[in-house]
Amino acid sequence: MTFSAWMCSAAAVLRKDLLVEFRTRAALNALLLFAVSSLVVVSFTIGADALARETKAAFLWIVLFFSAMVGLSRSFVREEETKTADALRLAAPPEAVFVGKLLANLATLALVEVVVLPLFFGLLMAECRNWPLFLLTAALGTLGVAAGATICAALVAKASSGGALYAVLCLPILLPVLISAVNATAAALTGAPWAQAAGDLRILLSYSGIVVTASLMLFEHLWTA
Amino acid sequence: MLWLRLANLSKSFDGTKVLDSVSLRVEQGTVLSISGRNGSGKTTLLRIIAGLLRPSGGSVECGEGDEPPWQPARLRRELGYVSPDLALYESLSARENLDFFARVRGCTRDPNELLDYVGLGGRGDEPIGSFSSGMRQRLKLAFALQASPRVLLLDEPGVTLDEAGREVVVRAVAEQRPRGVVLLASNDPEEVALGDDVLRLDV
Repeated sequence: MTFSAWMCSAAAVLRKDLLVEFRTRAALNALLLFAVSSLVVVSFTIGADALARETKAAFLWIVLFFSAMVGLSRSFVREEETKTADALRLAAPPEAVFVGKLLANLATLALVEVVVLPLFFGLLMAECRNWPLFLLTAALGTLGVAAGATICAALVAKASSGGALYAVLCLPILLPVLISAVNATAAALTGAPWAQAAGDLRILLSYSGIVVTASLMLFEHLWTA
Repeated sequence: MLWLRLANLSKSFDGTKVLDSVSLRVEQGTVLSISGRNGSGKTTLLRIIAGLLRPSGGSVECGEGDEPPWQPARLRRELGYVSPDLALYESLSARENLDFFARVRGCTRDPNELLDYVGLGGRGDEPIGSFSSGMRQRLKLAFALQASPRVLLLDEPGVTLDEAGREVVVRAVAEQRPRGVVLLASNDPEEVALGDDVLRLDV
């Protein structure tokens, strides 16, 4: 299979996943419900003034992490539960399935952030003093969370208690990206210089690169018999 | 000349042996029926050949002439599979399903032509969640035939089909014969009779 044909396969998986999600809204509703309710509850109970900028940064990534836990495991579990996984295995190259699902999860998380970030700044009265750093951290952190969450979803899809296993498996795998994303976001909120966040940005970039590369190498063994 | 060879194929589930040293070789133009009581391993055998299940022992090889056996990815591309366990996307229409699988396979066969072939020509835009079990079975047949496979694996292909649907299966088997091999697992005497030979798994 040529590279362009492979890319077409991945794009078809992405398009199909988004179409199915648009029609069923199974993951998106769960993700948004968790994220919005968490932000609203914290803002009305603890209050925006009581939280330091570093705490707000940590809270933002906790919300995004658990939102991902709620919704992204569905990407592979749904294929197994509805017995469509075999048809996909027969028709699509394994790596194209992984890339298509990674991009679909990335798009879902990005859509959640479009709703969550304005709420975060509005309800928690968060003030950002370095927008380019904040946006770069959000982009790299989202890529890292999506990459780790996608390969974990593939790992637990065949397990009988996949949902419970998913969060347990994801936490240690996503911990490096969460710590770095929180540090870099805190730096952006406090207006720290770029140099202070450079190490965390390097970790975020490296993490995504390593996880995506390792996943592409391992996925065929997870996905096929 | 296409050939498919199973060598000492075995499969156990939790210590229960389902397949025990199954060996056979079929060549292009052959339709092999596989029969046996429930639990005799018909579906397991076809799933192993399709690459959906790993055997406990033995091997599956497929190739052409004196060339080396195909790699698993090549066999997957050349394979069509219908099974009661297989499902397509309920929230997509029949045409969207076939269009999606055509894109991921990189094949250019027109979904409308396939829908007409299996008798779903006027129902292509309906979500398959609203389809009857017979209509779903016809769509699975279209899915299996989409990439013009050389190896066609049919597991209970006529189940839930009406008379017209069964005629589609008979036509598909006849058209597949010169192109490659067909393995058809069934206990329906009419379907078993489509084969040139019968492999009985419970003896």
